[in-house]
Amino acid sequence: MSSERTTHLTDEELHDVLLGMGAPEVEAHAAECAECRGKVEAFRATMRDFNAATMAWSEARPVRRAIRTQQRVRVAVVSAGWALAAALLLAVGLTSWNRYETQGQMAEQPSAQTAPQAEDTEAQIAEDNELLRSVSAALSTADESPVAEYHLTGGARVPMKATPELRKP
Amino acid sequence: MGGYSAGSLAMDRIPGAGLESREAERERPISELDDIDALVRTHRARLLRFVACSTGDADLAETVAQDAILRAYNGREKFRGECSVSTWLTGIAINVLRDHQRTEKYKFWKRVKTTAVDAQDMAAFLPAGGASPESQLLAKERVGQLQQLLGQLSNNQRMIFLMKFAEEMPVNEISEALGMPVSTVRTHLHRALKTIRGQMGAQP
Repeated sequence: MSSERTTHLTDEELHDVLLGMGAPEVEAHAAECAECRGKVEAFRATMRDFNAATMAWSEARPVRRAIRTQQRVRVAVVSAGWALAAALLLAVGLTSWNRYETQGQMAEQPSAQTAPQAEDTEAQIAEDNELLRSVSAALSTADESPVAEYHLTGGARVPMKATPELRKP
Repeated sequence: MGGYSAGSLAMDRIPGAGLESREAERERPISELDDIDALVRTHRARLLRFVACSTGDADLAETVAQDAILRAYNGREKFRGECSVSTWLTGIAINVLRDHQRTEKYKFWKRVKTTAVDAQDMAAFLPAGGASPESQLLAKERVGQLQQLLGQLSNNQRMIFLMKFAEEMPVNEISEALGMPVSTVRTHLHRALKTIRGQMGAQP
């Protein structure tokens, strides 16, 4: 045994060996002493396993989106979104216009038909109110606001209007 | 050193390094840097692993890895070959990560809650490699334990530990990438090793 050391390496000396920064006599001892060499090799084995596992995990994750097509996909998504929004607006507009026309035509009808019109209106109102109740229920189960969750403000909380106003006949 | 400002891997050239940089430019792996698909194939998984283990956030790691490769590709003309492409990319990824952490701090912590990397998830990917089931099980436990212990280190300790023992970067390259003196890097590594080896007990 070429090393003059009679004691095992300290933790700091072992760490220097692991970093490749050990003094010559320290490196020599680590190469010849079974116990110290065992500690060095055991740590390196753990790191080999860690690196293998984490690299396998990383390689198993699919690429979220192709880098080259990222910009093209973004433009396509934005364009599709605007197109969908425009289509929805058109549909709502046509529906409203159609209802307006229908109500206008019914207003010109003889009074005998005013009773059914009132019923339709009440039924529609009841349906709308039910929809609003559903929306209110859905909003009440939503996640807590991050402002409250992380206590981002010490000021008084402004109560949110949780329940939309219901329509009255 | 030509090609980089002192203490960082920012892509600023140092004045007067023209002759040396031309020589280095001839030697740089031109085919690798000019082919973004090759960059992705070669480096994405490694960068993803590094950032995921550094932050514990898989979703953020995907974003950072992707942005780092894009930045490297778009700035490839500034690479002077003073270090390996791998080291260069790691430095860029660190800068990208810092940018994200500065500008989206709240969102960052929010994402950690929902996309945190589970230590045992990573450990489960350990290849068998012909080991016995008992050895495999013990190895997976150590990997999971190490992953958890990394979370106990400071940000600098964890990042430098990974750069040294996962990315296998020399200490002097870590020093250049982070703009830290070698002695400071060594101190961080010693503290990280003390924590990890100490808490893993008789097994390192």
